[in-house]
Amino acid sequence: MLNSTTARRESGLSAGIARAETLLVFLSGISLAVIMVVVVLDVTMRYAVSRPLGWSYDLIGSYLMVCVFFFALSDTLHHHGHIAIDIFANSFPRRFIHVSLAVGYGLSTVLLAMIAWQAWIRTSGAWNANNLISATVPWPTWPSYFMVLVGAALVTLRCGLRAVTHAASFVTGRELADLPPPPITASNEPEQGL
Amino acid sequence: MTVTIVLLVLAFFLVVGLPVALAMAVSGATGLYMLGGMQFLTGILRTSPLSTANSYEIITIPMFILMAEFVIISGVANDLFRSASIWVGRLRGGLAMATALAGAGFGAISGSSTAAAATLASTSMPAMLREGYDPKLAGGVVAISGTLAMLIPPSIALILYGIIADVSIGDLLIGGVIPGIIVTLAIILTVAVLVRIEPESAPAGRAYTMREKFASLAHVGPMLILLIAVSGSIYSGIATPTEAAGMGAFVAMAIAMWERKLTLAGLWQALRSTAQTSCMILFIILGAHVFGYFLTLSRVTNDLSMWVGGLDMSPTMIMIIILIGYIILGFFMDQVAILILTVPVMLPIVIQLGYDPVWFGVIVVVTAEVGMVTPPMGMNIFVVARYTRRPLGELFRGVMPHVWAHLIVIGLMLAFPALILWLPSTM
Repeated sequence: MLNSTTARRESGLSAGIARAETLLVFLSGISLAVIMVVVVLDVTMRYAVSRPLGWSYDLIGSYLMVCVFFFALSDTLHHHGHIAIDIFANSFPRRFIHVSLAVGYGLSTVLLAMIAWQAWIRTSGAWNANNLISATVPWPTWPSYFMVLVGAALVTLRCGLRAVTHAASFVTGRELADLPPPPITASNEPEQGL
Repeated sequence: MTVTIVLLVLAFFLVVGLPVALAMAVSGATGLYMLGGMQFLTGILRTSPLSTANSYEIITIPMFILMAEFVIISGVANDLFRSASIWVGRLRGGLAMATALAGAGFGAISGSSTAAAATLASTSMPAMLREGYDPKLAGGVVAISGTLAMLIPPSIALILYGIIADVSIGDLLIGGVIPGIIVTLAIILTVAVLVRIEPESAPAGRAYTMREKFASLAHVGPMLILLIAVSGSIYSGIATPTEAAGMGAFVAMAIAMWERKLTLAGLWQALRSTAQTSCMILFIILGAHVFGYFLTLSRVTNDLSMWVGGLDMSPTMIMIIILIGYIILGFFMDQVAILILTVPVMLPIVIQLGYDPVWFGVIVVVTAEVGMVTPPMGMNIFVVARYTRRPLGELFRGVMPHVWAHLIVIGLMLAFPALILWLPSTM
């Protein structure tokens, strides 16, 4: 299970982003529950009355799974749920780690912003052209792109905030950045009776 | 030159602790920009993110994770060991053997090795120590039994491999069944050998009547039937892996409600935890997509395949070298990260050598299990040490006989690929 606590108390921009993350991850969780119910309904209808739900694949693939992934993206980053190889990081000087992560998160911010921008172009294009999914039920395509846009935009903000706080930690020498809890390793595990 | 720069960027960001997904995406994007320019990069970033999640088949991952969350909430995981110990506890070392069986049972619930190790550490380890088991023997068997979760269906590692390698997930999950049974038997056999060499390390337990044995199944019975039904429905073709996963999650939720263990807060915690874990895996897949485009564009995979093809070595020898590489990677890296980073490069080589991709997926996961219990990054050992407060050195020494047994099992699978491929071939 992922760690869901952050060591530092939220304030200002981070708290605002966290509120948006909580709302989005709630929708992500609801989507998961809906996926489960739709699959059960689909299988039941297929085998019980030979009438599967014709729209289940498109609803799940085009909307619900996109919601599960993109709406949980920023909350998972906030709670250090995205796996990182942290075994080596503690053996480097703290300021080196901070400047390296500032660069890493900075570049990631640019990349995620590009993804959000591309999603905006696709959302507006699909909205204006009233593009529809080529499936049994012709649902609009823009909600999928819109969810990518919202999720990518929020994680861009979270990532940018990480980059700034790591840069500030590097400059000031103080621990201002939100770092993941220390890994469970031989060095911090209590040894008894060796 | 570009490939070297990109690999150095990737290695640097991985080592300093940037999330694996971001490290792969950033380094892959750097390479794409260097090789194809901004237009090429924006083209990839326009389509890749949505295509990562825009799939029906991928729901197998969150649904199986959700199933495990509900089963854990129902409390059945803790009853598995109690039931297994009643069935085999009479034998010398019976509780250790029961730990392996409970590990296999938990493996059928959860695809997470560390979650299995943590559950076993909190249930079977105190029971073994109370009965006078040697802590080294007890800790070793707990740590190795946790790794069975990676192999026995539903294995998240195998599903992930199936998605990356574009191999049938059903074939992979069923392909893991016989190796899962063999590894379970190897653990039991290793315990039997260890207690024969040192009888004082494990006492014999008390005997139970058949009535008591069947009574012990009352709690775990419905869940075991569900788990067998999940794998059985995939094997028989009644349900696809996605349908089996969705139905499994729903029935597990119903059992948790029936047991009166599912609260609203528990339900929300299960959904949120599942959303976060699924998102973590999907984000790595997204990073791997970007990195994969770079690998394709740079033709590094083709060059590597041609180089390996030109080597004056037998395919078996090359495969042994590849597997040793996986064991070494397992010493330092998370198994999900290993799969994502290596499979896109290694799979074309493996296919060129004449090996089956299903066989390779299963054997890589079995090999990766070794890394979970060996220093310096043996995650299962760390988890068991944290739960049991036993010294790491003792646990690492205790697990070593199982590591040797594991290597023999890997050798068997290398020599007899049918051990993995026979069951999927009968589907």
